[in-house]
Amino acid sequence: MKTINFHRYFYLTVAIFILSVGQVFAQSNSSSIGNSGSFYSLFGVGFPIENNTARESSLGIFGVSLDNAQSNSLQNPALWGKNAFTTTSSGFSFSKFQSTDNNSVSINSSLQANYFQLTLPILRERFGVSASLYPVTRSNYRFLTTNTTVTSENETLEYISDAKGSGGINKFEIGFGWNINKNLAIGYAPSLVFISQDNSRELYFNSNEFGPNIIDTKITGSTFGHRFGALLTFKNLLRSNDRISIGSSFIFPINISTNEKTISTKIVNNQTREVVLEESHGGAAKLPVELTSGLTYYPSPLVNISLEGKLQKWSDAQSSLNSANNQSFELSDRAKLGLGGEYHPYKTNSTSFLSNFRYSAGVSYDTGHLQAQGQDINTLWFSAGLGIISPFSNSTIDLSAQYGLRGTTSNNLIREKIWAFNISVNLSELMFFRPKLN
Amino acid sequence: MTRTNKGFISLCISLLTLVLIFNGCEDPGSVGNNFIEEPVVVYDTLSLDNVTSENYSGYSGNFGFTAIGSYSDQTFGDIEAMSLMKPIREPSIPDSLGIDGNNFSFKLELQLDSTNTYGDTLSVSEFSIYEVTSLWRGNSHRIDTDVTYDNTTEIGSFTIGQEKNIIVNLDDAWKDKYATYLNNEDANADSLYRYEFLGLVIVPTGNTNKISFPRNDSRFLILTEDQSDTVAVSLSSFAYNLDRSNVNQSPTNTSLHSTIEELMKINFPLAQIRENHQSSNILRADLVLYEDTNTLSSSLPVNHSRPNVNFVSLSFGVSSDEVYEYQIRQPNFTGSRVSDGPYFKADITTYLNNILYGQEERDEMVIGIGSNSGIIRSTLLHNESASTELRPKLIITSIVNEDN
Repeated sequence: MKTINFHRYFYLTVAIFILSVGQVFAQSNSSSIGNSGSFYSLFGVGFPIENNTARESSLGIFGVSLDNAQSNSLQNPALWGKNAFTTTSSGFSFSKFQSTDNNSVSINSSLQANYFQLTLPILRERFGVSASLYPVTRSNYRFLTTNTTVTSENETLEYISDAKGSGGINKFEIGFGWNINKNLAIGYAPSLVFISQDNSRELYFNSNEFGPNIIDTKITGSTFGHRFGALLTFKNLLRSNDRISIGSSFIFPINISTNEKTISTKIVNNQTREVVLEESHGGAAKLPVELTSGLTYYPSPLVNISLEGKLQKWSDAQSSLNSANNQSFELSDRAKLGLGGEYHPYKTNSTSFLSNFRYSAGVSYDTGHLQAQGQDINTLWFSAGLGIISPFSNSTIDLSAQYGLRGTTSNNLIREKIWAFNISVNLSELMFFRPKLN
Repeated sequence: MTRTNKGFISLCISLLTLVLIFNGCEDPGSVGNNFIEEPVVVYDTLSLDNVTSENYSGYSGNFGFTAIGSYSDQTFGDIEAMSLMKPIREPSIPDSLGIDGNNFSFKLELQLDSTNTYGDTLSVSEFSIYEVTSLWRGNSHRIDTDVTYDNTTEIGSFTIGQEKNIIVNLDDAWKDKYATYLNNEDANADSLYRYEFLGLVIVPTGNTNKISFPRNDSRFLILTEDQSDTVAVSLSSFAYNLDRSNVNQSPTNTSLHSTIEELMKINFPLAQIRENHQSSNILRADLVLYEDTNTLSSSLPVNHSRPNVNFVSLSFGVSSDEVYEYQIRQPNFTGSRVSDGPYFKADITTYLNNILYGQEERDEMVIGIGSNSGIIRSTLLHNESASTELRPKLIITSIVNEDN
């Protein structure tokens, strides 16, 4: 019993520590701390985020067909009906972007908390509910440039511009999954969709006559969203003890009416205070209709292989926010296809150290949601991962590493090399009741 | 600890180390900056056409300097300055000097400002000294305060050439009069001295063509009978009167004088500023005032000089105690000459911020060169009647975004 408690406290301590580090870094706006990401997140309402667990990321898939009763997933509401354990999970990602154009190289890095999810099996493996908070798009760009202008007295004025973007569209979602029978599960998840985006620019001049100039544009708004999911499961299809899961989720398009406020810091009546330079209502931030489908085949309890794809109709999501930016880029329909496999040696009786983990690897191709001069800003991802399984509970810590190539330097565009590390902490029943049996 | 636990702990430590190292490496650069909106500095010039003049008589007493002399300035008119001085009643006289009653001689030592002379610097000016016969107070004295003096009895006279230190012998009769107050030990001696002994006035005479500026450490001197010892008697009060006449000024110009005989008042168009710039990302706002340097320089013969003006003061218009507000009190803003250029520039960004975001309703700004130094300075600004490019103007510098 003491061993069980030690491991529980150890997992809990590690989880709290990682969560704390992640939150501290995520909240910081200091320019000395890496808090910026892809150049392409400059456009529109930010870059679409995949809220995958590290396990799903390492497989290169979304997870709509990854049927796992022991842990939760955001990807398919139908999966919540199959949960056996009360589970809470959160994920963090650390990404590094090396952006290159024909002239120079920039390096940005981003450390951020991705999602938080709690699932409760109301009826064990029959009916479950989920509450979650997660980002849908993210702006986390940063440009640091030096330039010159000429003053009214014909003097050359040099300045540094530090343009940053943060925030994006988020969802607070509460939904349910119903495992109707051994072959079919369905789910529905309504959500409050809200945008909280902050684009700022700081200018610093080399003349004492001009103090720093800082403006922030804050975009806010909210609406409701709807998501449906379904999961088909068949056993003993090709061989005995095999299993195949076919999953799908559908998200209705969203149109958020936005308020946009541009503020700056000024000295007014001898006090430093924020003033509103511009305020507008009735802008639009749109998210497209989205269909994600895939299948996972389990030829044995030790191996599974997944193939999944996603379609997003971004061409229907043109909005005032998108058009406010540079016209060189336009939204285009996005398709992403992922293929991955997993090996579970911890299910064997091996006592070797390497047999304590779950291993996974995958590859995916994303056409991207942006197009420039007729060219898709696509991304090719290679990924691999490791799952650390608690020998005494159903909790897991999943780690994944990804390497991505996005965009191109042709036509004066930007190519990004992306290194991403993800970690997901999945605590099952740890805090809710004591297992009666080891 | 089991092998599994050791491996797990090692993994966690490695992971966290990797995260911290990985996160610290950032070098955001300019890649992609041709796709973002470029900040552009723009300048909006607003010509200020609601300009008027205001005229006051400034304070002139107990400043750092006083003024004596006369000068015919082709731009600023015929100027005559006479200075009033009064010694303190109780100088510290050591007993050992043996000064008793009126057994001493009395002199005036003038310490002239070595930097500033207004007028013909090579000329020799002449002065007479008379006894003042009307009551005056240094702290409240203004350039046009009525002063009477006995010009039938000269107390002393002197000339000023190139020297900066002048000692003038004073008349014994006036010295004897001072001695009665010096030796008076009655309780009301101070009061009697204040109201009965009124000091002297230095008046320019003859062909004087320059104005000199005695410092406030000028003093009276008590010398022993044998002239071997001297006691300094500092000034208790001093001031000057200034008379200006025959001013011939172009209607396109407004004069500014340190004695605030003339000030420029500008009414800012608050509604227009709010309408045009409520949403502007303002970086800076400058009030620009052009000096008529051509007139100033062409009207100054060789070897003649005017004390220079490098700053202008900007004060919000007031409806009471104007002279104190515009001359003595710290101005709300200060404009400075731009690199020896033909104009003054004042940063009034905070005023503009107050107009746009702080319910500022004061629209009158009074521009002057009012000073409590005592040096007589003047300059000439182009006003609303000047050509468009020379009128007072407000330059608003702001940032706009420009698509690449």
